[in-house]
Amino acid sequence: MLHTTTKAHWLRVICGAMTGVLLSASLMVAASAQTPNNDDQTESRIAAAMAGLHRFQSSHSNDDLRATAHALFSAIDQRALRLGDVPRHRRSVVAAYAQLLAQIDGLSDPTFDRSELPMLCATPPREPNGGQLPACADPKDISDSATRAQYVAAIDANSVKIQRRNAQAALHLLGDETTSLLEIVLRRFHIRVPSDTAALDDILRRAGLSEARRSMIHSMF
Amino acid sequence: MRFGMALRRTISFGLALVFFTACSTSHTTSSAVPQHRTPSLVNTVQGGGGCTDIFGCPIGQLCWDGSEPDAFDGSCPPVPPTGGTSQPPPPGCSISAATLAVTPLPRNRATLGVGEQVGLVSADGSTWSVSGNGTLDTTSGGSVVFTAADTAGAATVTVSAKGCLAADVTYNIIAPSGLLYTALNGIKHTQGLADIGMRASVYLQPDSVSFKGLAYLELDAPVTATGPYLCLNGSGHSPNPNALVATQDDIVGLGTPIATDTVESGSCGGVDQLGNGSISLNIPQMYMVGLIGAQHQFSVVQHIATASTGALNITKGAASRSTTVSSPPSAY
Repeated sequence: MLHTTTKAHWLRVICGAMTGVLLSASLMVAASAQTPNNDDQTESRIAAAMAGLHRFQSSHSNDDLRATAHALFSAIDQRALRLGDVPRHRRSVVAAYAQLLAQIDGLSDPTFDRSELPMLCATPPREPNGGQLPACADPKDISDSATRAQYVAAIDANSVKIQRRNAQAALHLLGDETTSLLEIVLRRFHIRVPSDTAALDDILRRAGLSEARRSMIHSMF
Repeated sequence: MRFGMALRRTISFGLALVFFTACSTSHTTSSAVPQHRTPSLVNTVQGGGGCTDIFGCPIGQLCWDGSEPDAFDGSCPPVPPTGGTSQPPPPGCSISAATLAVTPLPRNRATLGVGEQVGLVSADGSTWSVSGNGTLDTTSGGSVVFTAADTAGAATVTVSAKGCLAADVTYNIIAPSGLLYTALNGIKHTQGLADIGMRASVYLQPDSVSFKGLAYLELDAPVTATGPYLCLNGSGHSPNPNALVATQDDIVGLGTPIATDTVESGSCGGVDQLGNGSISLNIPQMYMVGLIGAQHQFSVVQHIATASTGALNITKGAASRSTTVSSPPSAY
């Protein structure tokens, strides 16, 4: 009897101790969930990446915008990331990309239509003798000076059009590149993280992005 | 602690179930423990089935040890070596890739166009390197962007980290192989003259990669002309000196749209318009990666116009149009 009582007593002691250990461990886990994760440098990397956008304000170089897009892409420090921090980081990176895209879109000509393919060459006017050189002809082969001058003017106008188009093309390509990088970042967030669509859409709206741009990004959430 | 882990597992399993239930797509995932991670574009996660993300990474399953897959790309912790004399080597580092160009699919293709970019991600990645025809925007961290060089060749991107075998992806980089011309509606013609013209959409080929962002231009070529076109013989084909930049996505079956071309015979006016004759020129085509990149010739496109007993025909590449000298006047 005494032996049994002793065993029961020790069992109670052991159980009590285990409960205490478990409780302490649970509290430690809960506490660790609230302590900052010093290994996670994501937020500081996002802030550092945005230096490129600040540089752009004085440099006006697309290279600074591209550098920002790429630096944001590599800002996610996933090896040190805790799942609970993902929503906060996702909002931060979306806000940063939205700011960058707002800058790119703000520089773009809204009338630029990328589906309109540029003309390779101008066509020379018909000469007084009835002849007409084909498109892309060399102006020096036009004997009539007035016709030649008219053709050179058409070539110059087409050149200006192409140069303007190329400048716009560079911005649109940069916008596409930035959007694709954001897409990959967001797809990586998809796994096992609750959606946060309303908050993310609000971030896009506050950044001043166009409806078309927001809609494109919204589909990635 | 165990209770906490059990609770976490239960929540994880619940989440996995939600993901799995919500997903209707199916995929194949190796259930075998990888001994080596050979060059692969898709992450390997041990376990059951489920959805896949943009990279083909499985969603909604647990790893070999019951832990959650990486929050971002679904990769699992390295599999520890088992006992015995011949222990398996550690698993390969995870590596996933997606082209920045949204077409052509799949986004994790191993063939790229010159200048094309790919976003690469690794859950384990700490050090990246590249050999061959391409560059990386950075060499450390979990994500990098690879940019293919401006000439054809191969490039291998390698990621390495502590605890996993280095993994790599090899890309085959191709230059434009030629141009596809497709005639647009409308023929330019002046009645009574051996005069014919057409407009054509121009696409960089092949369509299996994206050449978006490439700049393109034609170079000078001398005209060889006979018959009603004799006055044009020896004249120059003075192309536009401003390269055109491809801004549109690749179209399957066509290629990357680059320009609209005006293709014309021209005419000499008052000479005999019904005689046999022709115009021909071979036009060298150049591409550049970016407007300030080096120029590379990739093709020669033949432009021919023929006049034969009143029949007029014009071709450039695969595009052609026909009319007759006596046909009513028409425009594009």
